[in-house]
Amino acid sequence: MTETVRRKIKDLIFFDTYGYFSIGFFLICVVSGIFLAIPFDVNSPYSSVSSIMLGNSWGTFFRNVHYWSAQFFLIFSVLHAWEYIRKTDRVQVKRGVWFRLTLALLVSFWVMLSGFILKADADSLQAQRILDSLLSSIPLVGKSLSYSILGRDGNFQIIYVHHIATTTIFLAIIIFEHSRTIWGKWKTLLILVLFTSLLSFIFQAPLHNNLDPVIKGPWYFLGLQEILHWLSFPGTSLLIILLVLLLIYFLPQTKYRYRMVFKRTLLYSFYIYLILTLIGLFFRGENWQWTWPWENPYLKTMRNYVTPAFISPNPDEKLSKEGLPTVMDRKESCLICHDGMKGFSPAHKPQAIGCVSCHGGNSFSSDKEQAHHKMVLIPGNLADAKRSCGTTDCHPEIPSRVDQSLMSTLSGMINVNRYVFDEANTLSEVAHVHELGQTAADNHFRDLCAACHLGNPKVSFGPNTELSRGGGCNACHLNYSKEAGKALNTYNMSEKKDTALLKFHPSLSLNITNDHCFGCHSRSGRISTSYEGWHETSLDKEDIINKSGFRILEDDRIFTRVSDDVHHRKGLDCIDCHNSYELMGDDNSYHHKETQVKIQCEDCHFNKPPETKKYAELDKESVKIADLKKNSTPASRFVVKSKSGIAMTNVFLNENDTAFLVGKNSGKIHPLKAPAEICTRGEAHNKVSCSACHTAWAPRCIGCHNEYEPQTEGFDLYANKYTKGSWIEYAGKYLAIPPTLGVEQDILPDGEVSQKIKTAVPGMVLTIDKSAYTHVKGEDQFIFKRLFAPAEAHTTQTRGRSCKSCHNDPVALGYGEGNLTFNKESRKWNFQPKYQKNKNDNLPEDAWTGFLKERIGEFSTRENFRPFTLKEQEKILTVGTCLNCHDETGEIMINSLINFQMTLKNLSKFCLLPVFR
Amino acid sequence: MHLDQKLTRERFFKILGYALVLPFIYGWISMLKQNRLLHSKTNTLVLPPDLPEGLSFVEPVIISKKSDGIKIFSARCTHLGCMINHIQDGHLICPCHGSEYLSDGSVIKGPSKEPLHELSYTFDKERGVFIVKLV
Ligand code: FES
Repeated sequence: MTETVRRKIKDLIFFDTYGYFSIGFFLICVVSGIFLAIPFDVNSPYSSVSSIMLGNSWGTFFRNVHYWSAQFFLIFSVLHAWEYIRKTDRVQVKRGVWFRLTLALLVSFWVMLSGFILKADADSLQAQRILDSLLSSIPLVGKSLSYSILGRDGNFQIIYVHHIATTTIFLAIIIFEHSRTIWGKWKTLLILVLFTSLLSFIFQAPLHNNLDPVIKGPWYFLGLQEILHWLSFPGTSLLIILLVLLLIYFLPQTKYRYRMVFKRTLLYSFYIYLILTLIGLFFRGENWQWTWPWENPYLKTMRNYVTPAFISPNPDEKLSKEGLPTVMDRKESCLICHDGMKGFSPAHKPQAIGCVSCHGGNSFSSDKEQAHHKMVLIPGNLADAKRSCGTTDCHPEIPSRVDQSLMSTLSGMINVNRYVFDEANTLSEVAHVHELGQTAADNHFRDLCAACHLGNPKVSFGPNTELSRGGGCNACHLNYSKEAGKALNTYNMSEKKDTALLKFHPSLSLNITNDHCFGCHSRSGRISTSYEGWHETSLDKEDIINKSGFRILEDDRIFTRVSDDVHHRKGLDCIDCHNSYELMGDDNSYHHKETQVKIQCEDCHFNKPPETKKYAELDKESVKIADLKKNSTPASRFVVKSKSGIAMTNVFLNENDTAFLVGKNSGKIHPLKAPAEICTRGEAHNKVSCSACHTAWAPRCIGCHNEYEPQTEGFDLYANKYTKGSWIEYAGKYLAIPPTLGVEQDILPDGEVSQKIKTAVPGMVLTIDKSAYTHVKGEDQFIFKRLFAPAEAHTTQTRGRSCKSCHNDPVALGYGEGNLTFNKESRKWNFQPKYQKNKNDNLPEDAWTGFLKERIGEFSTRENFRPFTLKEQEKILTVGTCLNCHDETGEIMINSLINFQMTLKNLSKFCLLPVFR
Repeated sequence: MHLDQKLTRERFFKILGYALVLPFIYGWISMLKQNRLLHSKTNTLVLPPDLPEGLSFVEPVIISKKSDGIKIFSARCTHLGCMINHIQDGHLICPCHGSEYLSDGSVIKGPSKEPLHELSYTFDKERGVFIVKLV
């Protein structure tokens, strides 16, 4: 029964032999080819094919018919050949005829390949180059053969002649000789015409948009492309092809026993080739990387195979009058409807790069639905940046750099958070936000911190605001002009939401303002708000009604006015110091921000001639930026950042060796000042960083508690979805006081120990109760940490701190706020803390280290950062003792900077040195 | 052909016919040579003086400018001649079969075995441009 059904189905589908199918498709292919030849222009093949697809719907239809009939001709020719090979025991063919049939198989592949090359897109050109190399590798005649078949470089005439004449005539003769007919059967032909027409109406013949970085040969050679990948001597592939042909040719002449071996070999080779073809088609992505089909850009955004051909009997009046919009030799249908779009930066004008470069979609169709198929509405998100901003002709090296940079990985934040939760053993593990798991630490991170990574996609139109998080390239480069904002408003208000209403496009440019950084950087270290002179409070809106000096952020946090950074007062923006390599990464993976950030105060405030580079010595990216910003002159010598060796495109020396910084956005010229003389007097403060003295204040928060609340609805900021249960942070008190100081200590490659005194803030002084998360009760579920973090507060003041503000200041020394006094009687220092002692470690709530105590164990969010040791505290306080009586601007103290030991030797009888033990 | 086979008139013409292929091959090769000569252009590429640091593409070459000098390579992959136009993590990657090269042209990942072909160039002081000889 099942056998009968099977046979019936088979008879229904294969109502004729493979051979007649093959002939039928051949005929359809030839006839459609004659039609296609009319609009096709061999002198500009790519342009003419894209013109056909865009402006000539019947031309498109004939092209589709030509394409699909050709594919089926090849498939059925191979099946027919196999049918013959199987039957070689029964069917006797003359040797000469069999030779020509074998040759016809080769010619069939060539006629297909020449058609593939004739569309002259990125795939075709690379295929042509490969074929040229392969043929040229044939000894003696290779080069001549290649020249005769492929013609001159960039000229398609010979290939065209071979495609339409040589091979077609040869195949027609062979078909006739072989089957004694050229028409096949009318019924078969009719059914095949209908079948191909239907197929051609639904499925488009492919054309590479020359943007997609994935390059693939025609599907029937994808197996060969895989094989070539394994062959360092690719000429071998020609031998393999020759061997297969010889095998087929000699098959009928060999003895039965060998014939069976030959047949099996052919069959298994075919299966292997089929598997390789499937691998090539579905599993090879960009740069020959292995990808899953659902991630494969080749099948995803940039190419549209499944588009119904749109057939209109009337040519588009507008198109025939104005011609087809062309961008980079590619027809760009988008510009038919969106032609008047304004607002772009010059490099991104659609006339220069088109729309498809960024938005994908199908530029070869003028039908709205088809043109918008698989379009990326908001390009630039990191998930698709490689196919939009990062395509080969645009910014190919940036997406992978950004993906490794800290603003994408959040490596330091994740690592410290895990360390605090005892889920990481060291503070120098490289992490990536995309690898966040479902542990207590990672869930804590997801609930409280994970929104601020560049990979967080922008999902709606509109400018960046204080509430924006992430957004890929748009996070920094997107700018809405007034007109673009208005157009967006009109669009938002409209009922139909027609994108054609968006007549003004936001621009993508280097105009990166502080506001772009504000969303994320007004949180955590709060450098954006501190830089502008705002400090967070725990007040509510009601608390400040009718009060001035406050700022309410869009997220309703209330900030109060403190002093802003001197660079802000002068009008400098974030990007004036932080260049593209710091912000977008430099191809290295960093653990923590201070290693990715290369700018140092000394790069601009120098008292020795700095290293400089001329324009011609700049790297490619800096040249681009310098050219676009136009801040420099040909004579400018760009000052080099000493940590990275990269020149700053806005900091340079002029002909007279005068140093300037030009505001990248403002264009304002700022002469650069050398450090004050006092900064470098003597050696006493050699180890003190500029910011240790010049940081006016740093925001700090003490007494923070974290608890998991299983019943509270949370929001996973990484996955952007609501969750049941959430970590909740109960913040303590916010303070804006001068920072604590600590020591960054590293072992240099030559074995020397380098020490730098830097500013620190409470990084993680907190308690965590994990019990509700783990459902386990017990002391080990409770975590207490007192870790300080190195932090550049971005509150620089021109005048440095006074000597006393460090040497006699308990906060600077790490003891926390309180009363630090010197008892002249006992010659001892005393400290009365302002805050209570924490029961977990018996230190005042805001302390980093105990008063005149050595801090041991875990104390910092970095492995190379620590509070002052007991010995260092004693040294600092010894100077502090002097400052109790001596004016810091007086001769004694100034001279002590040069040689403090000498000062100690010349003590007067009134001098009281402290006693520490 | 066996020696004892008679050289019939038909066989003679058949052999003669096959033999005629040789002068045709000769003619074919000479024609190609002359055609190539006729269409040979001055195969040079002019590049501006301020070449950017690092790796950059100007079809059909790749420029590698480092502190120790400038190298110019043919952008054609030495495996099968595909045009290389992609950099990832500082490596040049061939889109066709995935060969990878360093900025000095050496291969770090196959299938390619040979380094990129380095092209010779001169600096024309008068015009202030680089002249690259394309092979
Ligand atoms: S052509 Fe470059 S890897 Fe094959």
